[in-house]
Amino acid sequence: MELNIAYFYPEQLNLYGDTGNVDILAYRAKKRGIIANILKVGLETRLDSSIMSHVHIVFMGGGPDSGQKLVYKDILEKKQSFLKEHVESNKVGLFVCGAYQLLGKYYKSADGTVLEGLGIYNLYTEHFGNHKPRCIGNTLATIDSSFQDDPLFRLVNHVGDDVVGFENHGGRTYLFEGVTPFAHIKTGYGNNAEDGTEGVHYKNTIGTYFHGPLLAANPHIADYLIAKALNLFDIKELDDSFTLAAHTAHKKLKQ
Amino acid sequence: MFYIALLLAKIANHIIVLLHLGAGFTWPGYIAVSVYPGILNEFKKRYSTKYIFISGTNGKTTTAKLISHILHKENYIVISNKSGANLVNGIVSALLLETSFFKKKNLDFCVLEVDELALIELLKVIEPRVLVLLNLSRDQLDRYGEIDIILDKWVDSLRNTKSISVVMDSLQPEFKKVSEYYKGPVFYFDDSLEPLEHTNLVGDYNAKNLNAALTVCGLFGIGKDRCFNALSDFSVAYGRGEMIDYQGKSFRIFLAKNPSSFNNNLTLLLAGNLKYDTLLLVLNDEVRDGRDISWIYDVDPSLLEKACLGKNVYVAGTRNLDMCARLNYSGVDSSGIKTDTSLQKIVNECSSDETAKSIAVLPNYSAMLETRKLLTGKEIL
Repeated sequence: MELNIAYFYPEQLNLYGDTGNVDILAYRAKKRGIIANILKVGLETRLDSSIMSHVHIVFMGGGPDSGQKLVYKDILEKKQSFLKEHVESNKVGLFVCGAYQLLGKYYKSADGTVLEGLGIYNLYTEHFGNHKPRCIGNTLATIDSSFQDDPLFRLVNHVGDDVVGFENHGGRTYLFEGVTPFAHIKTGYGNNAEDGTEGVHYKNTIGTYFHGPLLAANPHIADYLIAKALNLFDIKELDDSFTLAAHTAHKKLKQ
Repeated sequence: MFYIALLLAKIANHIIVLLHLGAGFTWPGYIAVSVYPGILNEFKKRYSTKYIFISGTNGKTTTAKLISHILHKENYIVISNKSGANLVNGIVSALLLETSFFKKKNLDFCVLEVDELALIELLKVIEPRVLVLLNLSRDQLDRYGEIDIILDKWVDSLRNTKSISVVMDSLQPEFKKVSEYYKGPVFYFDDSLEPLEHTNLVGDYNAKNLNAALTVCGLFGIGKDRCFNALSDFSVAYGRGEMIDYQGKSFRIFLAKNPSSFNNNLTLLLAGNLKYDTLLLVLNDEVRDGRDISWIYDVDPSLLEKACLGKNVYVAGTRNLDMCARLNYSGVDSSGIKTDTSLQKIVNECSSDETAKSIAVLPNYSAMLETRKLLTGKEIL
C-alpha cells in the first residue's frame, strides 16, 4: 500500500517546524508497512489532474510574507483548481496558519487592502494592526464533535478529545454561519480570541492555526488523516509512549 | 545623575555577587536605565572609545570574544559584555561595571555582542566604528518575528549614516539588501576554512566567525599573522564547545538554540574528530529561549538519527518529552532514550552510567546556563 502526500511550497512555506507534519505522516505510515511518497509541489511544478488523482493528502503550511507573496500569484494562477478539486472531492488535507487563511474567502490587512483567497473555506481573516495584539502562546482545545461522529476517528483515537499546539498569528479568522470549526479553545486564542473556535473542519480537511507542529503531540489527528486518506479500518497501534506523554504534559503548559 | 545611576548599578552588582544571585547580571543595567534613561548617551559622551558591535543569529559570542582577545593581546584597553547578556540592560551593565568611579579609565575599544532586535535600539544612541552582521536565520519566531522584518529594521537603522564600517557575510543572500541600501563602506568575509588551521577552534561553522574577526582586526591594522599569534591561547566561550569535567566524566557543551546551530553542532559531532559515547539533549521553553519549541522539527532528522546511533541518549529539560518525540520521529529507537524533566536527575544518572565517559551536551539557551551551573557549581550570568 502507498500513501502519496503532496507537500505544497516546501521552499516558501516552511516556518514554525510545520514540515514536521509531513515527516510525521510519512513515519507513521511506514511503521504500518505503508510506503510513503512525498511529492514536493513548488513554484515550478506543473500539476495536472492525473498527478492529483494519485494524491491522498495535501499539506500546506505558512511562511514569511515574502514567501507568501511568491506563492499567492502562483497558486491563484496555476494551482487553485487542483486544490479545489482535491478538497471538494472529499480527499484529505491539512492547511496550517498562512495556508489556512489562504483557503478562505479573503484576507483584509490592517491598511484595508483586501486579498482574495481561494474561497474553498467559507471564512475570512482580518488583521487589525496594532489595535489587537498578536495571538501567541501554547494552546489546548477540544476537538469538534463532528470528528467524533466519524467511526473511523473513534477507531483510531487512543488519545482523547483534546488537541494541543502553539499559535502565532496576527490575522484573526471568522467562520461564516454553519461552518464547522476544527476545535474549541480551552487555552489560547484560536481563530479570533472571541468566539472560542479554532480552525475549520471542512469535508475531510483541517485548517488550523496550531503549530507544534500540529501532529507532533497529537498522534490521533495524524492517524485519522492517514486512515481517512486510505480508508483504513484496520490500523496498527504504534508505540506512542513519548508522544502521548508529551500530549499530556502539554495540557499543563501555561498559555 | 550619571553617578547616582552608576552607584546604584555598582551596589546592585555587589549585592548580586554577595548573595550569589548569578543570573542577575542584567539587573545593574536595568536599575541604571530606570533611574537615568539617558545613561547610554551619557556614557558615550564621557568615554571616547571605538565601538564594535557584533550582531546576527548565531556566532555573536564567539566572534566578540575573538575580537576582544586579539585587541587585548595587541595591548589595547578593551571592555566587552563577555557574559553574553546582549540586550540593552545587559550592555549597560557591562559598560558601567567595567568602568571606575573616580578615575576615568582610558578605553580604546568597546566590543559588544548585540541581540538582533536590541541592535536597532542601540544604533539610535551609539554609532559604532564597526558593525559586524554575521547571519540571520530562523530563531525564536515568537519573539523576533520573521527574518525579513528584522532585516528591514536593520536597513532602516542604517539609513541616516555613512560612517559605520559594516562587515558582513558575503554568502548570506539576505544581506544583499543591506549593501543595496547602505551608503557607507561595506567589507565582506566568507567561509574559507584555511584560517581555522591556525587556531584551536573546532567546527567548520566557526570559519565565518573567525574570518569576521580577522576582517574587523584588519580594519584596525592588525594583520592575520598577528591575529593568529594573539589567538594562540584563545579559549572558547562558555557553552560553545566548552569542556567541563564532572565526577570523572568529560562533558562538552555545544549551545544548540535554533535549527541552524543545532544542525551545525550535529555536523561537528558526526565529523568524527570529537569522540563522544553519550548524547545529552536539554530543551527548555523559558521566555528567553522562545516558548515555541516547534523549531526542533526544522532540525535535520537524518543528522539527529545518525548522531544518536550507537550512543547513550539522555534527554532533560522542561520540554524533554517533546524532544523525545522528535527523536522518535527522526528514527531514533525510543526504548534506548532515558529522560526526565529534571536536569539534575539526568546528569546524576549519566554520571553513574559506566558506559558514559564522554558526554556531548546539546542544550538550548537557558538549558546551557543551567547545565553549566550544575557542572561547575558556578553561574556565568
